[in-house]
Amino acid sequence: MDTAAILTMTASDLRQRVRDRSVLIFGLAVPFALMWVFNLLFSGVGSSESLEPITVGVVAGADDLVVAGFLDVVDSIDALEITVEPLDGGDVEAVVDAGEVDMALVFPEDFAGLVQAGGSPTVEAFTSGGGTGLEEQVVLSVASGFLDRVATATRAAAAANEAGVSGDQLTAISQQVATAAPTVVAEVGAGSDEQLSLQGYLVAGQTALFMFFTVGFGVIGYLQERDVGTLPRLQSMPMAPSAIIMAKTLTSFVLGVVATSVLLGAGATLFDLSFGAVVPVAVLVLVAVAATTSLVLLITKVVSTAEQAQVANSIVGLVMGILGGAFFPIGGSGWLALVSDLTPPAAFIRGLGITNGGGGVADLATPLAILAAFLVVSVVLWFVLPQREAAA
Amino acid sequence: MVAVLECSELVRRFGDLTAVDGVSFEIQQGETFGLIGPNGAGKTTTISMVAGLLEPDSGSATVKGITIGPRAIEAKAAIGLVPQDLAIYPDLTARENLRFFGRLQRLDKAALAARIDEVLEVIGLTERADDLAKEYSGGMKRRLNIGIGLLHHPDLLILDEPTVGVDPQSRNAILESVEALSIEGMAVLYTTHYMEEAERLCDRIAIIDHGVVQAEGTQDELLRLTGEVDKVALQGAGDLQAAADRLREMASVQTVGIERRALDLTVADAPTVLAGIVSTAADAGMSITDVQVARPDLESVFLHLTGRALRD
Repeated sequence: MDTAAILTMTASDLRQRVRDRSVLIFGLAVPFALMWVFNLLFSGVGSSESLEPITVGVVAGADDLVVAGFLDVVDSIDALEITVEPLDGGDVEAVVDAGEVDMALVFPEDFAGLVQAGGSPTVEAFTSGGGTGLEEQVVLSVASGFLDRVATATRAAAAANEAGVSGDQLTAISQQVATAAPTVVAEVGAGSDEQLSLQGYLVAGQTALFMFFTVGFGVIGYLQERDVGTLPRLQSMPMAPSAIIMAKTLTSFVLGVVATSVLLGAGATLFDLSFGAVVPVAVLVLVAVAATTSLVLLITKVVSTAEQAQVANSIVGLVMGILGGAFFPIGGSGWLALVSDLTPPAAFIRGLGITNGGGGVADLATPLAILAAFLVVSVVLWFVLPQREAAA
Repeated sequence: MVAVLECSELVRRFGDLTAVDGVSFEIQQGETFGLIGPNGAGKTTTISMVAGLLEPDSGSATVKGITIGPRAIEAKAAIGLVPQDLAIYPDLTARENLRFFGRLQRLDKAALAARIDEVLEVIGLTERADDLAKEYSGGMKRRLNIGIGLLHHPDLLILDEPTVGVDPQSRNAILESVEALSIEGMAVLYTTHYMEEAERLCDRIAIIDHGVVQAEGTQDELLRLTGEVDKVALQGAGDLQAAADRLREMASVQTVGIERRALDLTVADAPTVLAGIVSTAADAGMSITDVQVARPDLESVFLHLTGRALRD
């Protein structure tokens, strides 16, 4: 093999691509800008997702054990800072409207006793102006959930009362039912764990999409050499003719790996992401770039000019990108979803989801197999198909 | 003596078209060989086979005794190709272009640096060596295109229409360079459809048309194929009849016609006998005011051989 000649041509190609800034623009700047813009669009620019502290006035009987349980639940909420202000009763609505508290909850007198008797006690809620902000909705949701559990406790209490259980025991049971940790917990499964965040998906998708454009700067260069007249001179050099296309392929591979690594790294830094351990991510990047390069290599075999190759590459890249979910995930379970799953961008995004969830190289078997299949089929077809000559 | 290049019955077909059909010729060391013919005659296809870009369907080409082909590394190392299209990288400087192709020619790093300076001097680009090639004039790009072909001291330099689109000054510089290379002992294969370039540079010429060599030889040998002779017109006054009679007695003079103030002669090899013609006419009493010589050229040879003009 003409290793020295291949490296010389690759180094020269890389120098020229850097010098004419084409790769920097189309391989890095444009995809990075798109990531940033899509992130602004999809994450809701200008809106604040953080919850403001809230003061909740509570009217309840003294030493009511069930209400105390409710307050324990409220106190355990980490996402919202809630200050509980005991109120005496009276005109609670006026207190809320006066802004002394943000909202108020009024428990009936002897709430625990009503629960113990198996009744259906009602809790009144007052919000400022009758409206509900995000914070008020959170408190109401918590209260609603708590009351559902109290209703369950009520039914249990009624049954126990008929069975002759003492009042104190009933109260204790009601409180325990209302405040106990759930006995059935939904663990986060592997499928869910492999999902990328919104920003992670954008970074992975745009990186997968622009991989086509970046690697195109290498192998399509073979046709450009023919178009501008330098190919005959290269072919006259003392080296095997195959060294030229090998150098172009190597150029594509290097550009693809560097651009992909930079995009993932920069995206991770900008959006505070992690795609997982370096080794599995690196393996995924290498195989994905190789598969994409082989696909673009195949394109150069079925067109006549560099211009045709660029157009064809753009079309194939966009179709693969859209189909593979580079812009948005393809949902469902029909044939479209199946086809989507089998595209290199989908395999790449899925692979990053796996590494993001802590998966190693062995866990990447499916996406790596899809990418390897593309690589093998493209290379075989490249060898089999005849090269189309440029029109005279 | 082993010919630097020896082509034997080269044939190359593209589908139903036989682009080159049994072309044979050879080039010795220090010889400049012209391959002339109109566009589509088969010149570039012949060159492509000679340079190892195309495999011939039949026949062979050898460089220094080694059969040339796309995978003939050793044979290719003996060849310098200057393609018709500019085969340079516009986003590299002249020095970077030369360094790149020099490395592909497997030149030693230190030797390459020195050789690059030499070639830059030869092609007159030393001052602009570190400018990007895309900033050069057309003539400068052409010179760089040739310089790359010279870089590794090839035994055979192939120049495919190297002066197409070049201004007269640059063209003259290119022709002078080729003459110098021939003197240094390099074998040169030169294709052109400019007859004056072939007449100036080439020791021997092959006229090719429809993929077939129609004739081959020195310029004089080719001119003789037309059967035409040189024409000499003597303008002047005095005793024109006496001058005509004396000139008819010269062996080299074939015919003499008398006009009112001129004599029209047909002669063989006018440059050789012109001085004798002029002195003979003067001795016979003719005062000569002007002498015009018209010789058949390669254009007329091509017309004679093919029945059509070279640039049809």
